[in-house]
Order: sequence, then C-alpha cells, then structure tokens
Amino acid sequence: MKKLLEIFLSILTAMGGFVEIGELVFAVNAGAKFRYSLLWVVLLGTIGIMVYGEMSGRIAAQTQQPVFYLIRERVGYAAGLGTLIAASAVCLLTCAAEIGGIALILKLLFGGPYRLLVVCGFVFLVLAVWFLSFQWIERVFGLLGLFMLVFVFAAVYLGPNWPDVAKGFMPNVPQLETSHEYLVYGYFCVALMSSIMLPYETYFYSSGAIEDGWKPSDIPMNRIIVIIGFVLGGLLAVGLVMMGAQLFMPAQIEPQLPGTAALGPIVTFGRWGMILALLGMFFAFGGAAIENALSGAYNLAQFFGWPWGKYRAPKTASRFNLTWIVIFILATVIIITGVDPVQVVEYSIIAAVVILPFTYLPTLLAARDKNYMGSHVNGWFANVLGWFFFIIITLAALGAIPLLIITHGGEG
Amino acid sequence: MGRPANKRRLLIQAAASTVIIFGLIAWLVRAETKPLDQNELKIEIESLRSYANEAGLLTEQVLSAKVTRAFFQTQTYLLQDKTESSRTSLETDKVQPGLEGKHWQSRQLATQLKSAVDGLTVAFANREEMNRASTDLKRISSDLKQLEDSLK
Repeated sequence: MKKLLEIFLSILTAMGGFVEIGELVFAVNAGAKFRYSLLWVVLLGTIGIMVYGEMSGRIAAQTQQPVFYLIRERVGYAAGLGTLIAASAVCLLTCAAEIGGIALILKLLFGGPYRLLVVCGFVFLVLAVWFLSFQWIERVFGLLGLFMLVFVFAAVYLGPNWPDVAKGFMPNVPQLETSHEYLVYGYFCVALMSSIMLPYETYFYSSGAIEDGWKPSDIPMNRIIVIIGFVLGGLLAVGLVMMGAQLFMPAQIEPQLPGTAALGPIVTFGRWGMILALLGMFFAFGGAAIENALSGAYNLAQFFGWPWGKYRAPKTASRFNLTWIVIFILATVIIITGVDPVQVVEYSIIAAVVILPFTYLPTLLAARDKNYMGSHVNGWFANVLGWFFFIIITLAALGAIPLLIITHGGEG
Repeated sequence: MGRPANKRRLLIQAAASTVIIFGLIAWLVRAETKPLDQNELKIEIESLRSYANEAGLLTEQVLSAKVTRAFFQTQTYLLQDKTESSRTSLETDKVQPGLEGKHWQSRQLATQLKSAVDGLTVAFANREEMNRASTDLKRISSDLKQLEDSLK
C-alpha cells in the first residue's frame, strides 16, 4: 500500500512538474499561431522525454550513476567539460527566467515593485531548498503545480473541435501563406519540442533516483512513473496548445506573458480561474527554478566527483550546497537587471536543444551497454526508440539557431 | 602527433573561430542597422495589433469583474512597456524606399495605442472610462489589421 501511494505521488509529481515558463509561453503561442497543427510535436516531445527519462532513471537505479558521471566517463574530460559548461549556462538562464516568472506571478497576485518581488522569490526558493527534504521539494512543488490543470479544464470548456484536435496529433504541415511562415512553423516545432525535452528534467530525475535510494528492483516503478506521469504532464501541454488555438487565435493575440496565458482560465472561470492559474504557475515555475539550481549543482558535483545530495548533511556536501546557492544568486542578479524573463527562457530553450544530443548520447550508449547494465540493458524496442530520438534531436539541434535567426525568434 | 602538426591544427582552429566570430558580429551589426523591409514592418504591426487585442480582452474581463486590481494593473503596466518599446523602435528604425507612408501610419497608430493603454492604468474603477478605452482599442486594432493586410 505504501509503495502504491509512493508511485501515485510520484506520478502526480512528474505531472505537476512538467510545465515551466518556457513551455507555457511556447505551447500557448503555438496554438495561437498554428491552431492544433503542432499537437503532434507535443506528442513527439513527450515520448522523447519519456525515452530519455526512463533510460537515465534505469541507469541510476541499476548503477547508482547519474547523467554527468556518464558524460565524463563516456566522452572524456575535455569534451565532457564543454558539455558541462554549456549545460550549466542553460540551467542558470532557465533558473533566472523562472525566478522572473515567479516575481511576475507575485506581482499579478499582490502588486508591488517587481525587483523587490524578485528578491522575495529568491529568498522563498533558497529557504525551500534549504529546509525541505528532496522528497518534500518534489511533492510540494509537483503537487501544487497541479493547479495548472485549470488550463486543461479551460481548454475543454472553451469547446474544442475534437476531430481537428485528433488530426493535430498526426504529423502535418498546415497550408500557410508565405515560405517565411513555414520557417516560423519549423521554429515552433523545434522550440516546442525543446521546451518539453529540456535536459535539466533528466539531470534532476536521475539524480533524484539516487537521492531516493532507488535499487534495480525499482526499475519497473521508474517505468510506470515515467510513462504515466509524463503522459499526464504532456496532457497539460496539450491543454495549453488547445487554449491558444481556441481563445487567442480567434482574438488575434500572440501571448508573450504568463499573465496573458492566465486570461484563458479567467475568461472561462472568472476570478477563481485567475487564482488557480496563478497559483499553478507560481508552483510550476518555483519547482522548475529549484530543479534548475539543483541540476546545476548535481552536474558540477557529479562531473568533478564531489560529495552531493540533499540527503547529506550540508557540511558533508558543502561544495554542492554552495553551488546551488550561487546559481540562485546569479540567476537573481541576471533577472534583477530588468531583462525580460520570457526572452531569457526563449534563448535558453534554443540553447538547451543545441546541447541536448551531447547529454543524450552518453546516456543512450550506457543504457545499451550490456557490461554496464547487465540484465537491465536496453531491449530492441528501447534501442530503436533511443536512436530514433537521437536523430530527431540532432536535426533539431542543427536547425535551432538558424531558425531562431531567420524567423526573428518565431515572430515572422 | 608531432609539435608542428599540433601548432598548425591550433592555428587553423583559431583562424576558423575568428572568421566565425567576426562573421557573426558583422551579420548582427548589419541586421541592426539595415532599414526595415516589408516583412519586418509587418511583424512590428502584428505585435502592436496583438497588444491592442490583448488590452481589449483584459478590459472586457474588468468590465465583467473577473480580474483583481493587482492583476489588471500589472498586465496593463507590462503592455505599456511592450507598446512603448515597439513605438520607440518604429520611431528610430528606417524603412526601405516605398514603405514610408505605411511606416508613418504605423507610427501614428503606435502612438494612439500607447495613449489608449496609458489611459487604462487609471480606469480600473471607472466603468465609463473603461468602455471608452475598449472602443478605442477596437478601432486601433481594426486600423492596424488593415495596415497589416496592405503589407501582404
């Protein structure tokens, strides 16, 4: 019974922690620009993160080794260091954007000076990570992030065209007016997939498996959590695209702010919709900020072989603890300069997809290594899926920066 | 690998990196200083139209008492910021020959939008003012749409 409850909570946590500020903005915008046409990308990205997450969780349970240990082991120190620097920069930028998002949500809820709210967000996050255990961080932010479900209810309430929604899940390219619009569509394909397959989710997930003391006997649980939790999380992203298509496309609005996305639940459910949407976003962004700060610290500690983990006393993992605090401080400094958090996350998402193949490949190679994984090595199906997604993310990585430049960041 | 070969490889890498970095800088400088073409002007107008519609939708929510003052004022403040940034960029950017008329129209509409959004900030408790702002925003949005369509 206790195990079942643990699995249930983990599924809800994976679902509640699925959406962050970048995914919110890209998903709603994708619907507002291309109606349901990009739903297949949400499906593809969700399967992709399931494949990546399952492999990294299985490796962690079997070998007690997380992603950045594998990277150093598989690609060597120099190439691994390059990947570490890039991944840390992406974690820092994403963390900054999430802190900015939290401050915006606080401002929408209570008003007040933005910079002061950034500092309040920073203090709240540091205290949360310092005082809560790993499991409670996951549960508090994951479960309260489920308020985001109000977006799905709003999307359903707005009366979707279900046959068109179903068609959107089939890979398609819509009829567009100019060749430039096709490039924008391509940019949104890459950005939306990247926002769903953000690599920090896997760093955090595999490190979390070790924090939670997973053993090889937990591998079936890993599979259940990844499949059900991420599918339900993907449902949130689908709801956001649908809301964009049903509310913002007819109103000719391209939502660029978290508060604009909240207009969906507001239009449908009034003030309660507003409160639930803002609370959902607050905990979703808060969870993502913590995951990024901890992921940055996990990556660094795992690469250099420092003691790490929330389960250790701060004194015994001092460099790890100092790192996540420094990441929070730097992220706060970046956002307090006044940069737009949504723009920051747009760039960090594109940078994330560029480095994704470099963190994905060592995980795939380790998961299919029989000497390493023993009886839990990839089967043929996992190998086919693993290589398929490696090709997809490599293509996305190659196209990301040119598409960002040509389409002016997806504007046209 | 011998020392000369290593040195040659390093030199090639340094030269390639320098070419890429300078190429990128040159490209960025050109992108920032070149006059707006038809598509770029259309993008600016699209953004303005989106802000106008968003402000209109927000106004409707206030009129049906669905949002709080804090929410309304924050969103209005952010829209003010975005509108001002678009207006300033239209004021400072040059356009390609033949687009001067459309550029002038877009600057006029950006100024009107900015003043409509500015007016919203003090209108929260004033229903009459809010209704007037809503009508203004609809008109500006429609004018922006016409201008945008003329650039297709």
